[in-house]
Order: sequence, then C-alpha cells, then structure tokens
Amino acid sequence: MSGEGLRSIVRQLPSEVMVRIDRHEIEGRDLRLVIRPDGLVPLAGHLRKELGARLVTLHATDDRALEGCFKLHLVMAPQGMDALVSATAPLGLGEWRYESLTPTINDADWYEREIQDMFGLVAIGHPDPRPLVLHEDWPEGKYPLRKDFLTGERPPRVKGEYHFTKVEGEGVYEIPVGPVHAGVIEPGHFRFSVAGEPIINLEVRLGYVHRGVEKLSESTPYPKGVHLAERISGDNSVAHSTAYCQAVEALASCQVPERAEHIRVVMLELERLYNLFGDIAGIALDTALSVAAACGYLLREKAMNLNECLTGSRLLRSVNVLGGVRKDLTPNDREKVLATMVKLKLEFDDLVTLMLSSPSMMDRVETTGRLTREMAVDLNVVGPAARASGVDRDVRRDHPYAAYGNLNFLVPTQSGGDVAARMRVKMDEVRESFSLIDQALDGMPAGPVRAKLGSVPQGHAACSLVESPRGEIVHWIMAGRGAPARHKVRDASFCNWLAMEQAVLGNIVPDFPLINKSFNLSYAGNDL
Amino acid sequence: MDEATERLGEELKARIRRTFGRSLSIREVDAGSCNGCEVEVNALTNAVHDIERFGLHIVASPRHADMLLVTGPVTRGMLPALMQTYKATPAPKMVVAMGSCAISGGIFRGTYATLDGVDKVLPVDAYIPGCPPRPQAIIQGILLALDRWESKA
Amino acid sequence: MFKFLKLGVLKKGVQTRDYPRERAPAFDAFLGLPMVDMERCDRCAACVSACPVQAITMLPAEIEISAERCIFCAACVEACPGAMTMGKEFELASLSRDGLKVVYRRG
Repeated sequence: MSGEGLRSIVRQLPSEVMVRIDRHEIEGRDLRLVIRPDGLVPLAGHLRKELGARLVTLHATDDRALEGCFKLHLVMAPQGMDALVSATAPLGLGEWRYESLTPTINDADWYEREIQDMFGLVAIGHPDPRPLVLHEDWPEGKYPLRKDFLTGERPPRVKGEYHFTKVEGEGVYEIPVGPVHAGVIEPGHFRFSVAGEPIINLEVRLGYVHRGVEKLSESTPYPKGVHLAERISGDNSVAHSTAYCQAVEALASCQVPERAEHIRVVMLELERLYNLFGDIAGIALDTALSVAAACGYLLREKAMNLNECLTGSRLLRSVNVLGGVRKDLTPNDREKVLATMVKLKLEFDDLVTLMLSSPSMMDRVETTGRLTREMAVDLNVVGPAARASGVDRDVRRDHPYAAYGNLNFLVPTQSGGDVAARMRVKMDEVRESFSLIDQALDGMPAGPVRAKLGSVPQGHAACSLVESPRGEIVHWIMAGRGAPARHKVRDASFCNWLAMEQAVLGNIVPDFPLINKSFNLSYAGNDL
Repeated sequence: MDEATERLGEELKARIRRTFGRSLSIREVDAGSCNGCEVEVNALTNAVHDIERFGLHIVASPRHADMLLVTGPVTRGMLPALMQTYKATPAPKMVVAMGSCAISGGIFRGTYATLDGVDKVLPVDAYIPGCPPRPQAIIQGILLALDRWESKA
Repeated sequence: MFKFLKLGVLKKGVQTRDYPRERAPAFDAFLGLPMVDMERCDRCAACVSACPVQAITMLPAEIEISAERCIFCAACVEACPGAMTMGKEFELASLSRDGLKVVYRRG
C-alpha cells in the first residue's frame, strides 16, 4: 500500500528534482533519496505544495572522515500517508554553504540556524542568520557537532553581542523577562515589545539549557543512551526513551515482543496523563481559580504516586530498555492501575465541570492567545497546540508505533486556536488516555517483555516518531561503532516556540503566562 | 492533624524563627536541569506535600530569598544568570544543590556545555541526591540544611 | 454559581501527608541507591561497566557507590541481579560530598 504510494511520489517528482537525484530506494514506509544539494529546495517545495508534506527534521552530519564532506538530511512526511521521505544531500568537497530552504518552507527556519551553530554550515538566503543555541560568548570557528571537536572541550568565553529585533515608535517600550523566571520553571529569555498593554512583538531567546545532549550521545553506548534519552526532557522520559529505543531497534532489526509494546503504551499514556493534569491545573492556577488548580495538582500527585508504585520512579524513568521494557506488569500492578484510573476518572470529571462552569475562568481563556489554522500549518505546529487550531495530526494514529495500531481512540480537535481550545483538547485527550490504558491492559498478551537486541550494523540510519504529551518528537540515529555516529533529537517544543511568538501578538502582557502555560513547552527539550 | 504532628510543626517553626527571625524563603534556580527536578519542586507546593505548613515559601525573586535551591549541572548559558541570582540574594544565604546533575553533573558530566555541578562555582551547604529526588527527600534535605545553618550561627 | 460546592471538591478531607512525622515508605519497586551484597559479589565489575555515570568504583578490597553521581537508573541491577539491588532509602541528603559515598566491605 504505502510502497505503491511512495513509487507514485517518485513518478510525480518534477524533472528539475529528478535530474538531481542520484539514487532512490523504497524500504517499508521509507523513501530514501540521495540528491545533489541544489535539488533540496525544489524537492522540499514540491513535497510541501503537492503533497502537503510537513518537515520532520532537517539536520547535518559530519562525514568528512569517510567521504570528505558534510551531508544534509531532510526528512518530510507527506500528508495522509504513513510514510517518510528522507533525502540525503552530500555537500561538495570543502563546501560549507547551501541554499536556504526557509524561503520555500518556513518551518526550516530554526533547523538551519541550529545547523549553522553546530556545524558551521551556512544557509545562503536565510532571513535571520543569528545564532540560535550557542550564545554570543561562544568563540567563532568552534562547532560542537563536528567530529574534530572533542566532547570535553570547553572553549573560553569571548565578548560578543546579541541583537534583539528592535521595534520602534512612539510609546513602544521593551520588557525583558528571564532567564530566571518568577515561577518554578525552566530558564529562557523573553523580550516583549509593548505599546501600552498589548504585545506587539515577542522574541523568545533560548539555549540557556543547552547541555550538549547530541554530542554526548555520540560517545554513549546504545544501552546507556536510553538513560540519556530519558533526561532530554524530564517530564517526557518515556516518550523520548521509546523514540530512542525504537530507532535503535529498527537499526538492529529487533522485533519487540507484543507484551512489551502494550506496556509501552500504558507507560506512554500514564506519562501523558500526569503531564496533562499538570497543564490543566496550571491553566486554572494562572486564571486564579485556586480550587480547581489544587484539585488538578492533586490528580497529578496521585498519578505520579501510581507511577512510583509501578516503576519505582515518579517520572517513569528506567521503563524502557533496548528490545522491550525493564519490568513486567504483574496482575497486582494491573489491579492497582485499574483501581486508580476509576478514582481519577471521577475526580477529573468534577474538575472539568468546575472549570468549564466558572464564568470568570472562561472569560480569561476564550479568545486569548489565538493561533490561526494557517499559522499552525505554516509553522508546522505539533501536538495539542496544533489540534486546538484545527490541524488534525497525531503520530499515534498517522504513524502507528508500539501497540497503537491495535487500539481505538479519537484524536480530539478544536477550531478556536485559543487558550480555551487548547484546554478543551487537553481535557479530551485525558479521556482518550484513560480509554487507551484500559484497552492496552485488556488486550495485553502473555509472553516475554524483552527481546535480545542483536548487533547494530554501522552506517545505516533510522528515524523514529513518537507522540509525546507535547506533540511529535523525532529521534534520528545513524549507527556508528557501538554508539550513534549522529543522534538528532527534535522535541515537539522546537516546532512550537515560534507559534507561541505568533499567538501572543495583540494580547496583553498579563495574559502571557496563561498563553505560555497553555502551550507548556519544554526548554530543555528544545535546547538539548 | 494529631497532636504529635502539631508539636513537630511548632518545633520546626520555632527553629526557623530562631535562625531567620521568620519563615524561610526559597528561590529555585534551574541551572540547566531537564525539568524533572522542577516537576518535583512544583509538587512540594501541592496539597499532599504542602511545604507551607513548615513556613517554607517558594518565592518569585532571589531578593526575597534565604535559600537558593539549585538544580541542573550549571550549563555554560546559565552560569552568568546563576551568579547574578546568587549576588542578588541577600546574606545570610544558603545554597542547596538538588539532583545528581547539580551535585556532580550527573549524566551530563564532562560535556562542552556544562560545568559539572553547582559546588564548582558556588559554596554549597547541602546536597540532595536523586534523579530527581522525591518530594519527601527534598523536604529532608532542606531541613538538614537548616540544621547546618543553626550550628554555623 | 456555587455549582462547584456540589461537586465534592470540598469533601475530599485533609489530603496533606504529615511527612516527616508520618513516614512515607517507598514502594517495593522504588529505585533508591543501589546496594551490594558482598557475600554474593564476585568482583566481575559488570556493574561498573553498565553504569552510565561511573558511580560505582571497584577499590582493592571494597566497592564504593557514590550518590553524587548515581542517577538511580537500575542499570547495575540489570547487569548483576545476583548481588545488586536497588535500595529503598530515599533520605540521602548530606551536608558534605563525602557523606554521599557508600562503601561496601566484605565481612
């Protein structure tokens, strides 16, 4: 089915792309192309325009040791197909420039800035070539992800300056916020340009939490890499470790036992539950509905307590191992989950009624922080934020993984695009999660919970998608000797930060925390 | 609440009052953590753990704080902000390193973008291991830090 | 307007746990600091090589586990289910880094 679809994609490629393709192969749901660098822009433009394809990831690899050049990797997913189109473009010998994709597909913006920071490859024609991840005190000529840069190298700080976008005019002033915030949240800097109360421009500046995960992963053997993946974004441990495991398992052609896949679904949904409870409670807290907030945080605490009882970790760490899961779910655990779910369901229904019937709260959330559908599609927004703007997109349904293919669930959407819509989507997702946990426990077959991984052949690459509570996350791994030769991680937040810059426009400054909370983006996952 | 709990609460309040003349204000600083520790610090204020019952407050500004609760391995990007926050905290102040990253760099130890723990750059009064520590462990760590403060004062 | 009064949100009663007065015992599955059973340890160092953060050190006559580095991931128990177990202790806080090291000796 998808093989035929992929062949027709190849047949319909315009001639200007066709002549630049050196090789193409179809394997399972993947179409892999080797293309000359000047073919990337027309290829991306064609896939976006004709097939509505979204950008999954765009990154570089340093293959100078073997092939003498850097390579660009573009992965796109055509709409409505469980398929990925991956294009590899080797740059010429000694070449460090390529034509920017951003003017053609907007969502390539941050990816290209990241490549510039990490590899020193410059996108010609990029509208905003400022550094993204590394700050102004990072010396020029040092590129962390190049192979000749050592993991432990700590270059001295240099003097530099970062230029924020300037908005000028009568009565326009700037409010700098961060990186240390008033709440207990992660660090990031927000620069508001404000005229009176309404925000006329917001610039988000991140990179404060950059820890060098991708570089570290290149020297971390696969089994230990699972633990690193769990710590990419602390509250999405299962999603990230599942994505990592799936990529390595695909490379090793390892078939994960069905029981383990069901346990992964249970854990992924438990993670979604405690995150969504926290998000919903956070929205209540920021609208000063304290009773609802306290109830919401209580639900979250109960969910995390269940996590600890099942796995020993409140944040569901050490759940996954390569080839399966670490610990089986006993009949006792199963009873415990079911009993807790019944209680949580009842309390959650009360919470929802309480929140939706409070006029003071609904007044704050309705029409606040609106993200239009066009904007969401254009910026390739993912997860609940996309679904609240009417973009019907969910990796669990569109690219089924683990046991999701056998389970029934709805993908809730809303069309409003405001805080209320995101809140309602999250509320509906909680209900779907309850149902998914029930189904996964019911349909769980007996059997082993882990398979032997086997050897991971070098040189191949695998791409794995997982729907985290914040949206689609991507782990792209190229196998090296016992560890990834290149490990590209793209968290959901990496796509959604730009959307938040748009959603706050025209809103008043006091509504910003509320809008921020309704997106609930990860700083650590974005900065890596 | 039973009598014993009330008594313990009173003892603790008295101890805090002796040391600081009032309740203790805590400012949490994320110096590059993965957000796991923040989740647990947030859990401290929920109805189950409710650290306000000890007179411990999590405050919005380091200028109001007596204690900095630092998480994360101290990234290159956060070092200037952490030092500024420390300077902005009025003396007497203490620093508690929370989580394996803040103590030794944890799993991020030795990368180009981290500095391997808070005590490389600031004097640390107490360490709370865990990845992340559960809320009860954080409470125990904070109370332990208070002990140290008394013996110093 | 006061619909929420009927919803039972006020009928939950006291939810607060009185830690540290009321103990909060860890669950059986809890991942605390790893413990070594020196009777069963044959010093094969499988735990040392499995640890992602080098928290376990094999000394001439003893084994040192450092809570400074440990990320409580259970990789060592996976590698050596015979002699390693995850402890249930969670009150590990210490005033000095030395207080975070646990040393196991034979006998």
